[in-house]
Amino acid sequence: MTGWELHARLPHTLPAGEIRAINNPSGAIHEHRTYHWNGWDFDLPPGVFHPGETSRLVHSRLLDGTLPVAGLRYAAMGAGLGVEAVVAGVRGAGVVYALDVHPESVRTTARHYERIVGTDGPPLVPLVADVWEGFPDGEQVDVVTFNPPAIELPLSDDPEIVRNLCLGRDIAARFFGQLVARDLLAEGGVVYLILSNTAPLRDIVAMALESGFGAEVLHVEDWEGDNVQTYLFALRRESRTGEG
Amino acid sequence: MHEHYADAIADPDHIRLAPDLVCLRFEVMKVRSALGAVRHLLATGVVRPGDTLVDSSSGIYALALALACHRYGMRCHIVGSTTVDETLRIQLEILGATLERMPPSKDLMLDQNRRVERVGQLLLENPGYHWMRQYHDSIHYAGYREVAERLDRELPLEPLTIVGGVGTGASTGALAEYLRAMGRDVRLTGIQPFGSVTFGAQHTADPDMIIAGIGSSIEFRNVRRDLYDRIHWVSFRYAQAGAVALLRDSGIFAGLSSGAAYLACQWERHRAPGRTMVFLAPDTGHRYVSAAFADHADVPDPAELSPHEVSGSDDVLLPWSVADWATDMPAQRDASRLPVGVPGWSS
Ligand SMILES: C[S@@+](CC[C@H](N)C(=O)[O-])C[C@H]1O[C@@H](n2cnc3c(N)ncnc32)[C@H](O)[C@@H]1O
Ligand SMILES: Cc1ncc(COP(=O)(O)O)c(C=O)c1O
Repeated sequence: MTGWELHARLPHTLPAGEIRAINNPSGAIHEHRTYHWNGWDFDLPPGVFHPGETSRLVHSRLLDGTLPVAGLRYAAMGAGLGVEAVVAGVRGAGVVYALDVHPESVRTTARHYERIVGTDGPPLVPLVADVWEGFPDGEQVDVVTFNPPAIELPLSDDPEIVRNLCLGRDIAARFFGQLVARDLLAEGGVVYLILSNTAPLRDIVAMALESGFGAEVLHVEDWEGDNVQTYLFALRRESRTGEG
Repeated sequence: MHEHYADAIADPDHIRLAPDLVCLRFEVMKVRSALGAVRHLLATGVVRPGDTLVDSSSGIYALALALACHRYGMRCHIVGSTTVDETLRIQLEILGATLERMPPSKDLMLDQNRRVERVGQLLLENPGYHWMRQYHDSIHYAGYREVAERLDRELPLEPLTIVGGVGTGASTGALAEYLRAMGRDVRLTGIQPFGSVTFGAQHTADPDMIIAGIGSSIEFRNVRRDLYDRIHWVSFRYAQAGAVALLRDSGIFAGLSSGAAYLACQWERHRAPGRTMVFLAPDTGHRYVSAAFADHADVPDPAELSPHEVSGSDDVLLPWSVADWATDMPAQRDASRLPVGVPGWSS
């Protein structure tokens, strides 16, 4: 099932109270933290996102090859601490672009990449960018992953928490708008987008469809103990693939 | 007594032109916005004195930011274009701001992208740099809080209609938002040039020059369309008529966006009895002398001009159109709305 037929089956956004109960951001974002995954150690300066289960749904699928990147031009949008970039490097992407609006996140990604992937791996292009604004013109990518901070509630006044979690549908609108307007996704390219029903999931998928993408669900996670559902989508330009 | 020149030129003069018509006349309005933003960043600890503030700009914001940096002991780094004029370039140099100039192309979106790419490089290499993002960061509203408070004190009673050109939307948006938050009855009328995407008139074009400071060919997230009740689209020629009339009628020598606001204000006045019209005059007339004032004898008399009243941006027509702005967009959900007032900083 793809396209609008799929859209009609997608879950509605959870009530605000439920979202607040699940996402209870703490002040820890202002501290120095560490993260350990797949035998790798990451260190997180203040402001850099600490991955959760949603992030790991993407990380583990990049690692096991479900989301192929070998030989492809790959972009980690909203790179954060850099796990996706590191995995794509290890999995032999052709080139890895790491984009984030938060300069410290981009520096952190570059540091982790250098330490874990090293100079023998594919080249890393670290970019401080506002979604795609700042991505070099005339270049294209084949694969993009994006775990957008798309919750649409002001969970906090803290700008660091807002940037990491709650920018709403606006960030997705700009992501698709610029990707299409500047033709940044190569022929046959794919965007892997992960969204939960804590965000306006349906509206964001509608935006992708309206921007000319076809949508396919690769995975649904129905977490135990709450009503959160997380969807991993593969989005491809319709006109290019001729997919229905 | 002002503590700094920037404060002096940032505060507007309130000039009553008629019982129901007030002009907020600025020397350089953008300085108010830049001062407020920098002060907010310092007060919230996002930046410290000595840090560098960076943004892309080729216009008046570059000077405004350089002055705000001078005022608060910050460094300033501007990524601009080779078209930056000499008056601006020399002032920036003497103020100690760094100006990088990149050649412009025909495509504004790509130019903006290249400048952001350069800003991104600077941010990556320099941990002490902070990106101002005047088009998108709502901290640029903060400085207008004092303007709203003073207006509230000077015009304590009557319902207000604020009229002003919309560039980034910070000045008009903030005035309306702060005054409404004080419980005031405020209507907001925005002025746009033809061709601007901001309120959906990108399918039109002005045959003459552009009106500096208002309108845009790219999306500015600081424009909050849901705040506006009415939009006027005004041609260069008609803005010129307004600017000449403003000087003739009141002695105020102001720029083209001021002229357009004055024109719209005069027309709206008679249609909104009981409201006081307050229009913004964001800059002086000096830079427009040859383009707008020199042929003053040939410009039409505003009393003879009237707009096409249209139902929305699809129908706008030269040389002047007005529409009620009933936004079909959901109220903007951007979580970072108005910067909250910083205790102890409001004058
Ligand atoms: C939910 S975190 C995801 C981090 C990482 N990809 C992961 O999954 O663990 C969202 C990231 O998006 C970044 N971000 C927020 N606004 C952005 C923008 N306008 N452009 C690029 N990145 C942005 C944040 O800085 C943050 O690193
Ligand atoms: C002459 C002039 N008019 C109007 C404006 C619009 O102000 P804002 O960016 O607050 O919408 C500006 C801003 O630079 C300006 O320079």
